[in-house]
Amino acid sequence: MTEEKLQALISGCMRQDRSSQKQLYKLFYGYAMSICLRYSADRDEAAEVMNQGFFKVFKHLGKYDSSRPFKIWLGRIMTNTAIDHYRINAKAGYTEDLEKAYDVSDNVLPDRRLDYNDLLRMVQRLPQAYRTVFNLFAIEGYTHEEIAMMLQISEGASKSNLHKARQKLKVMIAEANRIHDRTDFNGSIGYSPIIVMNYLDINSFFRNNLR
Amino acid sequence: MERGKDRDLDDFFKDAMQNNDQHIDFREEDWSAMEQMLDKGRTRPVVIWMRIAGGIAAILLLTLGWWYLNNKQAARNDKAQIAKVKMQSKPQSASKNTEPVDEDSITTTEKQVFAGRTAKGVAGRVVPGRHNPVPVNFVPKPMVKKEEAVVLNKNDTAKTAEILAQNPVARQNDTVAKQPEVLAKADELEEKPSVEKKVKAEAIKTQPVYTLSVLASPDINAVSAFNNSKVGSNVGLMFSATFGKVSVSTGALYAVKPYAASLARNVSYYNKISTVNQDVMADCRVLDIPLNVDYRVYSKQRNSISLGAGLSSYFMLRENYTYTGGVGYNGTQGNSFSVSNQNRHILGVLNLQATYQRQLNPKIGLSIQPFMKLPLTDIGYGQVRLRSAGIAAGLNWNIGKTPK
Repeated sequence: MTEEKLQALISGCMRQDRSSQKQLYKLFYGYAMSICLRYSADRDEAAEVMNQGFFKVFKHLGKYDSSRPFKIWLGRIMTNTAIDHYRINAKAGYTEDLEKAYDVSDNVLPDRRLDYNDLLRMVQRLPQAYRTVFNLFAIEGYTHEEIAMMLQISEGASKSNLHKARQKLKVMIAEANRIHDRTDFNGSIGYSPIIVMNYLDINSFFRNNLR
Repeated sequence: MERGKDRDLDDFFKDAMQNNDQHIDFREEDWSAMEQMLDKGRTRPVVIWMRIAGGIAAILLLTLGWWYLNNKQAARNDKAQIAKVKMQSKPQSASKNTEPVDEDSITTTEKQVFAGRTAKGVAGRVVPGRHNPVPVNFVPKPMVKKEEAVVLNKNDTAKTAEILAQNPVARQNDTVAKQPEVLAKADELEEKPSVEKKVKAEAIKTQPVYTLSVLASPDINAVSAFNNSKVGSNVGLMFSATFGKVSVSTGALYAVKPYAASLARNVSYYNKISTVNQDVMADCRVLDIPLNVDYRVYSKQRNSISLGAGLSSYFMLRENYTYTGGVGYNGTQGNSFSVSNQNRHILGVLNLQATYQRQLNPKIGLSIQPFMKLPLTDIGYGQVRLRSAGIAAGLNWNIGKTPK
């Protein structure tokens, strides 16, 4: 889409023209959803956050500086909405069962056979606090100081959450690698994130209940 | 070494996560949910009408205030005029005895001079206040009186016509006809002070009474029902204009509104959170601008009772939220947050009130006012239907004239 067409679409949205709103929504749906998905536990939650983000976009289009790329502005709103979502959840005491970090060998290397969906599923399976910090640090590139301010937590908590997020991801990758190897050996069963999840859940069950 | 591997892991995820929007298929139901949100964000027709009604009420209040001030100015002018006439009428009262004025003869004379006009028309024309209520071209009385005396005593119509023709000033100002009436009014006022007082009292009675009130009240605030309510407080200044039995009031109240709510009902945007049964304790500081209309249903001696309704605008100055139902993430952190000056609800709250007022003296009165505030829209960051009920105590001061 040319810049002129995008500006025309934005003008239509500012007039609250529903057709323009839908066109803009569809145009940036994939981009916005890709951001929200990695901050959320599943697609439904991501859709709620994304819609909340689009609501802010439509409401504050008048504040958009047309000299800057619209996509970046929209992406920033999506990220901020996801952070708001995290803050409300955290402050609501919506705590997940935060486990202690596993002792995982640092030799776990990402397997190139894992695709986007596999990795997304791993990020989504992280507890929200770990997931949010990992997203902000590893993917968005914020510093711990900035993350601490954004999430209203201490820098130490940010570092700790990042460390735990990485440890959990390494466990998931290791498990995925193991299953890959096994299925490759058998040559019959393809990799499925669901199987990884179930396998981890069983591990977790034995670890927690047989002590 | 370890740090480097962590970086590798981060980069691996970063590469995979970025630029993958092409793989995400569009879901129509997401747009439907978006449309619902957009529809919800639009102002409802009822609220629009209420805002229009509020605007009309505000314009009415301003118009009546302007009318009152104009009347007050006109009353001052009339008073000054009467005083002037009184002063001038004193020597004429003396001459009146020797030179009686016959109003009929004047009108007859004038009728003859200005042929074609009926007696009624002329009489109508000379009523003070019909035109030239304040005689700008006011002719000194001795001169007119002299002419008048000549005309009346000699009863010479031809000469009268000649005099009037030669003296257009007399004709223009109608002072010939006007004088006796003004004089009569002045005499009447002189002779009957009690009548003047009565007229004055009646005039004051029809004028609006302006009142300044200082109000303070405790109230209870609740979201769904009042069984889980918190006590808040209001303090402020109100200004009201009373026209007979109806009074219109506005002002500003600073309100402290604490409330407790379940988070499930508190946040409507995030259904995920709504499933978590967490309680929130909110403490809001609100600037409340009401616009109310009251009707006096009972009035005896110094006591009166009014019933009223109106709309309030809430300006959320500061909202503090503390979650009380569980421990925040990381044990102690992030259990509360605050929002400042982000939410306003223009004419978004319905006011219902009953007022008992006791007048201590013509200027000062006390009032007790049970009230309810029912939101027409979701209030504050929490988007809750925050209801309030309380009893306000007020000290009223009549700043306008009061009937004696």
